[in-house]
Amino acid sequence: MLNYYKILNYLFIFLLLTFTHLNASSEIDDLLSEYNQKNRLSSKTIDENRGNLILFTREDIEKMHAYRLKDIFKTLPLIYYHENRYALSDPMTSGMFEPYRSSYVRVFIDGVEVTQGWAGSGLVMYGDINIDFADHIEFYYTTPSYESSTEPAYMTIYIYSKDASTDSGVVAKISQGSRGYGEQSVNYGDKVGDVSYMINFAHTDAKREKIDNGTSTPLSRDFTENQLFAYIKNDTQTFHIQILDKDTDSLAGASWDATPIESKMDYLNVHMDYVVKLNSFFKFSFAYDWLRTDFEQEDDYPLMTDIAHGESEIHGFSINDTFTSELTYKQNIQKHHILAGVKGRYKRLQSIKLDGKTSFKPDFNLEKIFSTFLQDQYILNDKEILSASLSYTYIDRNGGVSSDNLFQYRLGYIYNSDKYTYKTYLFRTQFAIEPTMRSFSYDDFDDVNPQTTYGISSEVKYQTLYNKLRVGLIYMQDSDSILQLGLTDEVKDTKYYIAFFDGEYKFDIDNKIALFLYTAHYKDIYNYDKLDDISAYLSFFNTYKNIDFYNGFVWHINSLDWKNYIDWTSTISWNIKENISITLKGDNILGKAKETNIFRFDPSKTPEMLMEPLHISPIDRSFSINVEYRF
Amino acid sequence: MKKIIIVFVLLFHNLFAFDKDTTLKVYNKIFTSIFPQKDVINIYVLNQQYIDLFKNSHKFKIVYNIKKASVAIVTSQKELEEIQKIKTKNSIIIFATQEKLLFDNKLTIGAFYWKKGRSQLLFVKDRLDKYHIKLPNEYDKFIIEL
Repeated sequence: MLNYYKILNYLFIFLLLTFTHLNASSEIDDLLSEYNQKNRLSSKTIDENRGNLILFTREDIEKMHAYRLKDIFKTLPLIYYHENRYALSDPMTSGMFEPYRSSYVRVFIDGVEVTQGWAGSGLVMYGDINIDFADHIEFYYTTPSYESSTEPAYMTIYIYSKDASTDSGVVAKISQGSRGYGEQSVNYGDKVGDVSYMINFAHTDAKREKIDNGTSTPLSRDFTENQLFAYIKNDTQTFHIQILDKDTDSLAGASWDATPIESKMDYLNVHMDYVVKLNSFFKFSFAYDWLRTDFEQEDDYPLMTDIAHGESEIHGFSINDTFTSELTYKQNIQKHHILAGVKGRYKRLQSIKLDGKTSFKPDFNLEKIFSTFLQDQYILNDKEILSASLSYTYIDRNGGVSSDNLFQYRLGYIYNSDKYTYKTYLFRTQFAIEPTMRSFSYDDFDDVNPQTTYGISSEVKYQTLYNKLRVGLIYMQDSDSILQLGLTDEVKDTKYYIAFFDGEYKFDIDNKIALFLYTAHYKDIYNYDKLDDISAYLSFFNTYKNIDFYNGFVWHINSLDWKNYIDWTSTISWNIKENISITLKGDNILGKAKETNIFRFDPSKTPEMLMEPLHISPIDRSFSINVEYRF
Repeated sequence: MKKIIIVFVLLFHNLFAFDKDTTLKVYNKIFTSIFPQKDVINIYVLNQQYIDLFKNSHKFKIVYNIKKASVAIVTSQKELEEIQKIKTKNSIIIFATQEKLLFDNKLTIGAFYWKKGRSQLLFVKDRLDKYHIKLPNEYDKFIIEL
């Protein structure tokens, strides 16, 4: 098998060298490249003041043949993609027994947050959605601008949908892969007068790799999913609706030793939002998120979730919903660009019903959030801007759970010329733990201090039509770190020392190579005194005549065991005609992608003993054939 | 003050149809390659966005009589039908801004449009031949046969 991979590697290197040397850019290539760069939707949404950006353009997404958000997410060296013991998207999971830990990664679609009230972040449901409707995706690190966030965030993901005026018509995609994995989607958009609309429907029948847990019944995370995304908009108003219906096997679920007799979670999620520009100064938005979770969990021993009350079997469902509204104000007064806003959010755990009859509400079932922010960007001259932002958030909780006052600020300096951009931020951010941790965890988290983070980040970027070089440094220090909740050892401040390099070289309009390199040194993170982490994402985008090639390598290594993890994704796409293409895709081809450690206790022993953790890659090793047809 | 406004444009982009400077550069290059002998190219165009694009260019002159035009730029099926009604001879060249206007109409020699998140430039070989248009070699990869 190894020889086979070596042959593939040599073949790939040969193809790369051949294509990159066969193609030489011409004047018309240069012009089209410049045109693409300046006319992309992404270039119109990027705001240099939002933070440290990693951008995936429409062209990147198309050529990577990234069908789901995690196909993109896994290439982010700074954070990677992880799934927790319930097989839910949870990049910050420790692998221990907490319900959810990634509430400070927030997801926005067309500028509006898609949240999931009780888990704190919409990422829990949207971290692995089908992204057929997406035009481009922006990831912002460290403390992003307060403009969009109702609650504090450490990282924000902005997914922007395709524009119906440039993507009118029907696009249908069919994908068939390893183990019987199947995915189909259809997208239709049009513009009538000044009103544009788009409807996207995707169906996924995911047959995923099974995980050996030492019993005759391996752990499963297969799922069936139906997803609808639609919008209708004109120049001043937008209405979105998203429905996600996902029936999934939930891996280890609530079993302490990851040997469940039954582990299933079914989700029905609805998101709706309405945004209106009231005039040139004010914008108002309202969003509603609703989630019903049906759960079937059974084990030989009492389950780990608090709502099981020591039982070894629970069947039932819970419903929670979230209302969010915000009003923002924007005005330029001489050299001041003022941005201000007030936001309100109401989260409600409506009910939990067990065995179809016992209905109860925990004492803690409401969170009311009020937040306000003010940002001033002061224009020093035609190239330099000073930025100052303040944000205050008050979270009120019922049921005797403590409330939180969160105060944040961010000071920034931006230099922007034709080719060079320099930006630096000094910030203070506070996070509160999400309601799920408080209400469903086996630990008592009723009265927990919010995490306070101080940090400074700097990056310098040089960019021309064909080249990009960017280097950055980040330092952060957490007090009362949420990452350390539940640890019994003495908890110290967590310190982060991060450096990254981001380079891109385009040979011509169709061929480019990119490298993102990241290194971090942590002190007192989780229960480690220190941790070194190095990772990289190397990608090749090539076109030869009507055949597109993409090869992406994600590499990870850390000081825990200095083991190399490599996730190689490769696609070959044959554009048979203008409106039809066939693609062969391999994910995690070497089967060596980074793994998540899922920890286990043996409940049959007294005292309970920690077992060897399961090592589970969130990225399946799989191969697929995909057909795309436009009409 | 003008410089400050430029900075705002760089930092706070708003959605608009297209970047005029680069769009004009691309059309300048395309039509200069089609009509290398012409110093000024007469254009017939009905779409206001494109009228605004070309009206201040020294290379292009917008004409309102199609018979005086070297090329007609069509941006919709309706415009194409309008032009076909007026046209009496096949001497005028039609260039489209949508893919379907190129594939559905045999009189359209080429198109420059947006698809899959990037610009697409295409010419149809037999239609170029019909008008005795010989494009430079750098366009070879943009010429298809239908």
